[in-house]
Amino acid sequence: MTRILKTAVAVACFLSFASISQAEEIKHFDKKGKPPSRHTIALHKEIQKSLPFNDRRDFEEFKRGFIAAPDYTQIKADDGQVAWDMGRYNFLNKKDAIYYSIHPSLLRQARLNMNYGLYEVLKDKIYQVRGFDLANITFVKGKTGWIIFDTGMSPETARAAYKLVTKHLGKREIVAVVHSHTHADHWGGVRGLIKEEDVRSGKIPIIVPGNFQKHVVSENVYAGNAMNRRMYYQYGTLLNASPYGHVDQAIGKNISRGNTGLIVPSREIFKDLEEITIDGLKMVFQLTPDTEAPAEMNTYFPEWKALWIAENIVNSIHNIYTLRGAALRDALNWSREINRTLYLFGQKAEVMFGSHHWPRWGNERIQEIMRVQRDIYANMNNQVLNLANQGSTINTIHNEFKVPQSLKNHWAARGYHGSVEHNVRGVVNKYLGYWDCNPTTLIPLSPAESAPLYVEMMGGADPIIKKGKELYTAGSYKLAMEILNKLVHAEPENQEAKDLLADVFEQLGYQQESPSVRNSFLAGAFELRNGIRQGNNVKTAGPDAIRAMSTELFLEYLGIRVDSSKAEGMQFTINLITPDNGEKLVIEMSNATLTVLKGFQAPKADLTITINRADLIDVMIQKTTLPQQIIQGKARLEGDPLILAKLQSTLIDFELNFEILPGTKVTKE
Amino acid sequence: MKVSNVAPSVMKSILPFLLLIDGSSRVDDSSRAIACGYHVATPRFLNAPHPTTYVIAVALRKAADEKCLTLIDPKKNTTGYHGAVGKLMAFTQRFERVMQDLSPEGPSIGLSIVLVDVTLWSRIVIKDGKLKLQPHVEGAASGDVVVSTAESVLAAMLYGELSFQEAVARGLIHFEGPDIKVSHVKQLIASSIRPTNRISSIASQSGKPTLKQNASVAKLPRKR
Repeated sequence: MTRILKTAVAVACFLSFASISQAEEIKHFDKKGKPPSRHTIALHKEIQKSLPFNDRRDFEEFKRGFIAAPDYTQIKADDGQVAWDMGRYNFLNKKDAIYYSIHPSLLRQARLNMNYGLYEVLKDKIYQVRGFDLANITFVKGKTGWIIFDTGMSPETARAAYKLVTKHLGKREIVAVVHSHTHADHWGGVRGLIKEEDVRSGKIPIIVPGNFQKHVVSENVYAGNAMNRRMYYQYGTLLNASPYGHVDQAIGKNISRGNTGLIVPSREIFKDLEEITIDGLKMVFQLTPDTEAPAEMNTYFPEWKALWIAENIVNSIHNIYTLRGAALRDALNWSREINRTLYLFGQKAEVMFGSHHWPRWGNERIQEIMRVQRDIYANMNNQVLNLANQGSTINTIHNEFKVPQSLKNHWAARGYHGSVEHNVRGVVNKYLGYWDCNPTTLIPLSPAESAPLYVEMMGGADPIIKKGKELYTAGSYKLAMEILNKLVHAEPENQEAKDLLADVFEQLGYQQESPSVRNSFLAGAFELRNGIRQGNNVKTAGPDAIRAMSTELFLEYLGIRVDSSKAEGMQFTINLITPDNGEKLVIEMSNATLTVLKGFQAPKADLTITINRADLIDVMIQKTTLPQQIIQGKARLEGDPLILAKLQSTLIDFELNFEILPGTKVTKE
Repeated sequence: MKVSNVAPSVMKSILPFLLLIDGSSRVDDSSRAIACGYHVATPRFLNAPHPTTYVIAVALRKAADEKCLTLIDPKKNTTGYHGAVGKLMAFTQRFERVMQDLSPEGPSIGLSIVLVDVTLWSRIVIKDGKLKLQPHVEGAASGDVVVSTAESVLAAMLYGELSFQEAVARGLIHFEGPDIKVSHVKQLIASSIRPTNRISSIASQSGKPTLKQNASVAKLPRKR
């Protein structure tokens, strides 16, 4: 038995909290960091008693079918960086270790997400590689080869997964790929598994839900820079893996950092239910639009009574509102689609497996999980609106909404990926918007404008610090946060205030069940103490995703980059023609605003640019520049070329490391 | 630096450089270059190093189509950044020679050069009493005459395949700065460039070299 296998078995044997006897001592990675306070420890001990830790079915399911783990924990990216590192989280594998800096329920989930290796889902038919990326990579046996369901986020990790499968199950070609939905952790690894020319030639189909490509790019472009910055918070991108830092990401361990790629799919599913046979295997695709993703689909294998549930069901409440920033999701529709799946396939399925976590076996268990997930989303929707119709607002709902006890006691309805608190605010936001209908909050002062008055009225910094320390010592962290936040906004250079607020954030972070919320508090604490951390920039979209972007979308993003103050008084019109795909667009600068319209041309444009879409793509992905395309004769300008210089003079390059908390701009490595 | 070693004629011309290279230089924000195209893997959309870039790009294509200029093919250009710097150094040497010969009393000048096709900014400064090239700078320095052109144009002029006059007439080289300084720099550059090996197509058509700048250049937005 290999060392890793032993480790995996040890993980599989984890851990009822009743058996845990001692707290684990690990040094904090931040010299200003604090251990959990007595209040945090007391809270966690209380939670430990109140949750059903004796229900160990998740642990049995999580270890079932384990075949082998690789003899490595790191996967290198093609550029030499580390794309994936399960070894960072070895502290979670330590038997009997308890960490009071981690919410007990999160610690349980973080250990469940330590599954690592190859697992059998259905004997000789379905296999999963887990723990190689945020999402699972699923290998379904056709008559001659593998049908892949979701590829993970990076080619490097996908390639490693395929190698592992080949090593233990023998060599089989990949005959088809299914991307269950539009999020990158489900398609970004495709280039590690198959070649683009095999898709183009029709040899290997890539099957996706309808409008896949449109949604792949549209979700992440317009506010991409802000989303990336906020990702540092939600995903704790730059936090150390540690009991005091990053411990989990709810639906997996973390996001991989490889060279995300996208191959244009060859088959889109548009029918609500569509039966397809590939490599001798009959599959029924069920579209579930506007659920976890705008375009998503489940798949049922009738001959095997096996249900692929995509990311529509996970062992957590998912996000109705995603903290990094995303369009709000429809909790009621999500619940409705789970219900439909339950009635279509769930009452006959014998195994249910998805793109995250572990499968569920046996129809009774499957129906139990489906109903719990169906009901938690419906309940959040209905009860939030019930309360909103009685006067609850976006600023109170998270303190008023209560999850029904029966759901609260079910592990599949715990708020890991999406906390109950931030999700219910999202539901209010979806239906009623951000305003609580109190005129005070309708056009409020910015925090930096109002904070100095608060500080003055409270008697200055010293009494606030004194009171903040008292509240911190008493464990009244949210109250301490209220007053210290005012002080930090009024005095961004007051390091004592920032350090104290960081201490408060840290304890609040330790107390969170949701890693997204925990990471947000801990990332904020880190920046308050040390300034904004540099490095490991995340990418919204790689070249493949940009290729998938329509010209219209790309130009509209230019409009977002325009600084209106620099465009005052400018007035020009540009026609853009891309002959190879027959598109024409008109771009107008007027009233300091850039607008784009597809399908039209201005009769008297100041400039007309003619460039094939294929050559424009090379500019879009920054392989070359527009001037170079002009010089090479691939782009033709008619009219005044200086119009482009004018447009350029209005554009802003967004900086990733903008300040979120005051006084954190000073950077330290 | 000991300025006493510098010839008085040179000294007068390059006096502003002395102020600019001892720490008081300032990069004009609006003309600030992205890092050079040879060193940046990801050039950005609509991020040309200078407003004339698009005008020069159009002129380069036209000159190539009319067989008046051989473009450097980026795919076959094996010398890369060092090749571009080599051409700029050769130009600097010639510039220094003619400046000493022709311009003992001319107005003082500073020179920022941008090769728009490769997004490379450079300055000509004085060091140890001689003109030196500072390649790969951030952008134009305040008060400089800004010369914008392309590596292909510089090469063609240095190799005697393109006259300075034709380059100007075709919009392949542009100047920006106070008229008197621009005029002086033009005179110096014209003298730095060897006589062309072939007859200028425009000069031969009109009977004399055309020195008039492309009208569109006059409309360039100022860099402030």
